[in-house]
Amino acid sequence: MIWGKLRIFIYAFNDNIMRRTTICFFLFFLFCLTLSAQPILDKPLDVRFDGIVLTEALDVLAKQNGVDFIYSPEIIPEKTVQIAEADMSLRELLDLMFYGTDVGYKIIAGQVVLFKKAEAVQKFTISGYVEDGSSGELLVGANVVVRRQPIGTSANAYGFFSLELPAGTHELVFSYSGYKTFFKKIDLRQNRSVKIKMDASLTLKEVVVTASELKTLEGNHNITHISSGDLNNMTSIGGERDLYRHLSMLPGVTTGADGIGGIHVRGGSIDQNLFLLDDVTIYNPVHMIGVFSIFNEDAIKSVDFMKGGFPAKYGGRLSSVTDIRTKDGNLYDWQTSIGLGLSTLRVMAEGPLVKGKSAVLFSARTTPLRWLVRPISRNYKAANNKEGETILSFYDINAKWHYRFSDKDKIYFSFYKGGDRYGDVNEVYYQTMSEEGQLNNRDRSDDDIRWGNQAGAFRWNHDFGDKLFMNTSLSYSRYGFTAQSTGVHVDTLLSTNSIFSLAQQQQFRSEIEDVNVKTDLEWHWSPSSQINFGGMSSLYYFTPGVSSQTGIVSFDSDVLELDRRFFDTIDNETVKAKDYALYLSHDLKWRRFQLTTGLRWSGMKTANRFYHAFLPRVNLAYRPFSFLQINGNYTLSQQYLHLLTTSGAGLPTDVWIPSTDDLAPERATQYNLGVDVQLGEHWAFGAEAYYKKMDNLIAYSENASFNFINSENYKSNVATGEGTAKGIELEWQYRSDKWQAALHYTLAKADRTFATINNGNAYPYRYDRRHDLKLLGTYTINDHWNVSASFLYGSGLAISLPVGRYNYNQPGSFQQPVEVLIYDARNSFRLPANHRLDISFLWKKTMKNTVQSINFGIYNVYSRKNALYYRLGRNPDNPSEPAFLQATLMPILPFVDYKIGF
Amino acid sequence: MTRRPFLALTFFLILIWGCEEVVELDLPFEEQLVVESDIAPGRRVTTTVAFASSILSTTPVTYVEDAAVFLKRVDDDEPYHQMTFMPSVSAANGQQARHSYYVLDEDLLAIEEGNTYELRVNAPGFDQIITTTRIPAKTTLDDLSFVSFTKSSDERRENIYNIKANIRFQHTDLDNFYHLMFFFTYPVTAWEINGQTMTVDTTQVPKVEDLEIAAGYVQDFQNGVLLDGADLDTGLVNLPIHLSVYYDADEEHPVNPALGIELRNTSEAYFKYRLAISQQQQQQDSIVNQPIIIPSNIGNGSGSFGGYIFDEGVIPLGN
Repeated sequence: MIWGKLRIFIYAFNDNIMRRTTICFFLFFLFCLTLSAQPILDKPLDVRFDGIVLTEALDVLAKQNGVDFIYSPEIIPEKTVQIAEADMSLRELLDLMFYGTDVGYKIIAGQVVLFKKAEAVQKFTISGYVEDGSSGELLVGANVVVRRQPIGTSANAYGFFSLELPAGTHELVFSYSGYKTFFKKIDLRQNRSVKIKMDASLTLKEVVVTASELKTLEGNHNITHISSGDLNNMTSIGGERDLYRHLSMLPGVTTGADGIGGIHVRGGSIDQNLFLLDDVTIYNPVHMIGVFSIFNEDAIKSVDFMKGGFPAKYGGRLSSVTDIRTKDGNLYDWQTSIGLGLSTLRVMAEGPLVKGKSAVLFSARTTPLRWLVRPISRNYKAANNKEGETILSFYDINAKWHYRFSDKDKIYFSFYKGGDRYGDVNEVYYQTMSEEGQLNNRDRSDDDIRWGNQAGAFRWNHDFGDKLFMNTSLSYSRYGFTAQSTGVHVDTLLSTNSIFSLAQQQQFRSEIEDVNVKTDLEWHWSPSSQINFGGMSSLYYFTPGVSSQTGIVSFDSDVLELDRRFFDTIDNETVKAKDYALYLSHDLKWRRFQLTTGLRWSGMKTANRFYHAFLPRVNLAYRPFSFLQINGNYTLSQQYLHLLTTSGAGLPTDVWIPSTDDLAPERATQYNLGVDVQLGEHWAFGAEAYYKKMDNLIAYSENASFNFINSENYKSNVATGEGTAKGIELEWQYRSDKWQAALHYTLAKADRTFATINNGNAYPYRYDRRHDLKLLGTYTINDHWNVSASFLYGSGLAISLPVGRYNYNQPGSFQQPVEVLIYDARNSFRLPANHRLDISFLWKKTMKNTVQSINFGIYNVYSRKNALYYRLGRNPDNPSEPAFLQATLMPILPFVDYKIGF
Repeated sequence: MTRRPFLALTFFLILIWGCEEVVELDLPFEEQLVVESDIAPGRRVTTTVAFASSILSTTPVTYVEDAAVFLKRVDDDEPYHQMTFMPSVSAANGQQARHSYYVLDEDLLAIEEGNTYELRVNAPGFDQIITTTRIPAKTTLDDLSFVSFTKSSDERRENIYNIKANIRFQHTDLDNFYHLMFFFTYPVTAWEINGQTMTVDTTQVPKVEDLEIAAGYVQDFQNGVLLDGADLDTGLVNLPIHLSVYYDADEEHPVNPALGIELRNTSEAYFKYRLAISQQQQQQDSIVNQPIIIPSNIGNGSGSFGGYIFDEGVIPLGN
C-alpha cells in the first residue's frame, strides 16, 4: 500500500526536468537511508513458518517482528515456505523465502522493498554421483537437498542424481544412512557434474538426519529403503543378519514360525513377490525353506522394498518388489573380510583392478552345518544299526566386476550362483530265509535333492548430458530343482553263492530359465518434474516337471552301474513364453503436492493368445504441514507367471508355470491411503490402510486328476479363483543418537475364493494373520557396543484339520475298508499365536588396518514353542490312540558370530 | 509317481527331527450320517448308512440299522421303492464278515442308461437326505489285446507275474469320467467227483505298475485307475497297461488265467469322490500339502451317491 502511494506521488510530476531532479534527489535520499539499513537485515528473528504462502509469511513477519515491507502483491509468487529454525537473520530469512524466484529486496528508509528482478532467473543443472569416499561405492538412495529449502532429490539405484537449480550459490546437503552428512557449497553459473564422496560414520550408530531442513516431500509411503547399515543394526539369527528377517519385521509382511514359509506381503501369495538381484529376477530367494535368504549380507549394498504403489518401471508380480543392489567393489583399496558363525561361514574380497576405474568383488557363503550334520547323522544311524549319513548344506557365490570408462559411462557384470542340498543315505545289512536257504541282504537308499538359482547380468549405465540417465541390462536367470532317489538291493544265497541285485533310480526335475533385456531411462526435467520411461522383454523356458525312472537287474554281480544318461533321453518338453513391457511415468512436485502418474503396458504371448494390459499407477502425496503427509495410491498389476504349490510355503518342489491359452494372467488392484506424522525431532508415526483385490489366482484343483505335474497335464488341473486382502498398518518410530526403536502393528484379513475349492465358499488365506505386532529396538552404548532386541507377536495362521472319520466299505467287496477323513471348511482352524523375543549384542572395533566385530545373543529368549504345523498322528504313549501332534522348530538358541575385515 | 510329497516330507522331517509333541485340541464335531451307494445297470443297488466318528474317537464304526432308504427314477412318475435292510454278519460260522446295508429288489426298479435316480434316506434323529445321480452314456471297449504274461525276473522272489496288455476305446466327450478296474482270475483245482475235476475261480485285483499315457491318471485306492476325460484327446484312446499279480502256478495242473477289465463311465460325483479318497490316501503322511476335502453329494452328511455304466471284457493270458 505504501509503495502504491509513493508511485502515485512520483507520477504526479509531469515535467521531465522537474521529474529527473526529483527522482535524483529521491534516490539519493533512499541511498542515504539504505546505508543505515544493514542492521535491519542482520537483525535476528525468531520465526517458524509451517507451509504457508509467501504473502502470509510476509504478514507474519510484519506483525510479529515489526518489519515493514513495501511490495506489489502481483510480484509475489505462489510459493509456500517452511522454516522451522529460530534465530535467523532477516537477510537469511529473505534469501530462503525468495530462493529460486525472481523477487529481489532492498532496504529503503528502514523498510524492505520487494521488487521484480529485471532478468528472468536462469536455471542450471547439477548432476553426478554420490559415492563412498573410501571405496568409491555408489550410494543408492542418498538424499540430496538444498539447505533449508524443500528442494531435493535422491540418488537412483545407480548412485546418480540430477537437480536443476537457479543460478547462484547454493549449499547442498548430502545424507545417507551410516554416513556423515556432507555439506557442499556450489556456485552454479552453468550445468555442472560433480562426484560427491561421503565418509562412513565412525560410530556404530546410524547417522540420522532429523533436522527438518533436510526434509523433502516423501513420494511413496510404501517404499522402504534399507541400507547395509540398516541390516547391520538388526537382530540376527545364528549371527546372520538376514534380509528376509528384516523384511519379515516390516508391517504388512507375514511369515510362518521361524521364517518357514517365506514372506507373504499384504495377503499375497509367495509367488507374487518379485526379487531382483542387480536387475535379475530370482525365483527362489531362500535357503532351507525360508530360514535364510539367499542374499549374502556382506555383498548387499542397498534394498528397496515395495509393498504397494509400485512405480511403473516394476511389473510382473502382484504383491511386492524387493530390488536388491550388490556392492560394486572397492575402487581404491583391497579389502577382505571373513566371518564365522553357527549358521554361516563367509568370505569377501573386493578391490581395484584399475585404481579409481575398475573393481571386482567376490563373496562366498556356506553353512558350517554341512560339517556338523554328517557326523551327527552317522552316529545316529549307527545307533539304529544303519550305515549312512545325512547331508544338509547351502552356499552362495556373488561376483561383480565393473569398469568406469568415465563419469558418464560405466559397465557392470554381476554373477550369482547358490544352491541347497539335502541328501540322505541309508544302508542296512540283514539276513532272511528263503525256500532255497539263507540270504544275506544289503539294502541301500540314496536320496539326493538339490535346488538353486543362477543369475548373471551385464549392465551399462550412461549419462546423456546432465538430465538424462540410462541403464541397460542383459540378464539371465535360472532356477532348477532336481530330486534323485536311488534304491539298491543285493542278496546272496549262501548255499550257492549266487547273487541277485537290483537297482532303481527315480528322478524329478523342474526348471525355469529366462533371458531378459531391458532399458530404463530417467529424465530429470526439473527439480519438480522427472520422467521415467523404458521397456523390457523376457524369454522364458519352463520345464514344469519331469518324473522318470530307470532300473537294472543283475544275477551275477553286486556292482550295478545305472546308465545316468537315461535321464538325458527323457523327452522333457520345454514350454516357451515371451513377455514384453513398456512404461512411462511422470513425477511432479507442485507446492505441497507430489503426483506420480505412470502407465505400464505389458503382454505375454502364449500358444494362441496374446495377453496384454495397460496398467495405470497413480500416487499422490500431500503435505499440508511440514510434519504431516497424506499419501494415497492406486496400482494395477498383472502377473504372467504362476507358482503351482501344494503348501503355499515356497517349497523347492513348487513349480513355475506360464500363463496359457486357458490360464489367464493373475491380476491385482490395490488401493492404499496413508498418513505420516513427524512428531518433533525423534518421533514419527505412520498409518496406512490398504485393500487389494486379486483375480485369476491359481491353485491345484481340490480334485486334481494327477499325481505329478508335467508339461502336459498341469493346464487342466489347476483352478482359478480370486482373493482379497485388506488391513491397517501402524508404525511408530523413535530415533536419536543413542536409540532406534520401532513398533509395527498390522490388523489384516486375507481370503481366497475358488469355485472348485471349499465348495466355492471364501476361506482364509493360509498366511492370514489377524494381528501382527513387531517391536524392535537398538541402543548404542558407546562407539564399540550396541544392543538390539526384537519381539514379535502374530496371531495364528489358518490351517485345515480333520474333525471326523468314517470307513469306505462297499458291501460285498473283498477289499479292505478305507479310512476317510472328514475336514471342516478349508483353513477353518488357527494355529496358536506365534511370539518370540530375540536379543543380540554387537561389539565392533576399528583398528589401524582391521575392523573386528562380534555379534552374539539369544534367539527365542524364553524358548517359546511356536507351532510350525499340527498333524494327525498317533499318541506316542499309546499308539492305538489317534492324537494331534504339534511340531516346533527353534527353541532357545544362543549364537555367536565373529567377523574380521582387513 | 508319488515321489514329490515324499521328497518334501523327508526334507521337512530332518528339520523338525524329534520336535513333535501331542497337543490337546477341542475340535467341534457334529454327528453326521455317511451314505454310500453306487448304482449301475446290471448291478444290484446297495446302500450303506453309517455314523461318522469324531476324529479322535477310538470306537469302531457304527452302522445305522433303523433307517428307511428309498430309491426312485426321476425321469418318470415312478414311486419311491424302499430298500430292504440286510443285517450285518459276523465272521463266525465260516462266513465272511460284512456290515449291514440296504438292498433294492432288482424287480422293483430297472437301472438304465441316461436316467436320473433319487435316493432318500430317513434315519431317526437326522434330517432327511435326498440326493440324485445320473447314469451316463456307455463307452464300449473297442479292443483288448494281450501282450505278455511273464514271471518276474527274480525267480527267488515270491510268485510275481507281470501282465502287459492294450486297451482301446473311443473317447467321445471331454466331460466323460472313466474308472478302469482289473481282475485277475484263474481256476483253482478244488476236488474230484466221479473222476471229474471241479474247479472254482479265484480272483484278485492286480497292482497297476504303469499306464503309458501322456495325460495324468490316478491309481485309485482299490487299485483301479481314474481317468479324467478332460485330460484325454477325443478319439481312439490306446492304453498300454502294465500290471503285476501274485500267481502261484500249479504246473501239474496248468490252468488258463485271465485278465478281466471293466471300463466304467461314471457320473462326476462318483469320479470326484473316489479321486478325492485316493488322493487323501496317497498324501495322508504329508505335512505340507493342503488337505484333500472329500466332495459329497449327500446333503447334511458325507459319502456319495454315484451312478455309472460299464463295459467289460476278458483277455486270456497265454494258452
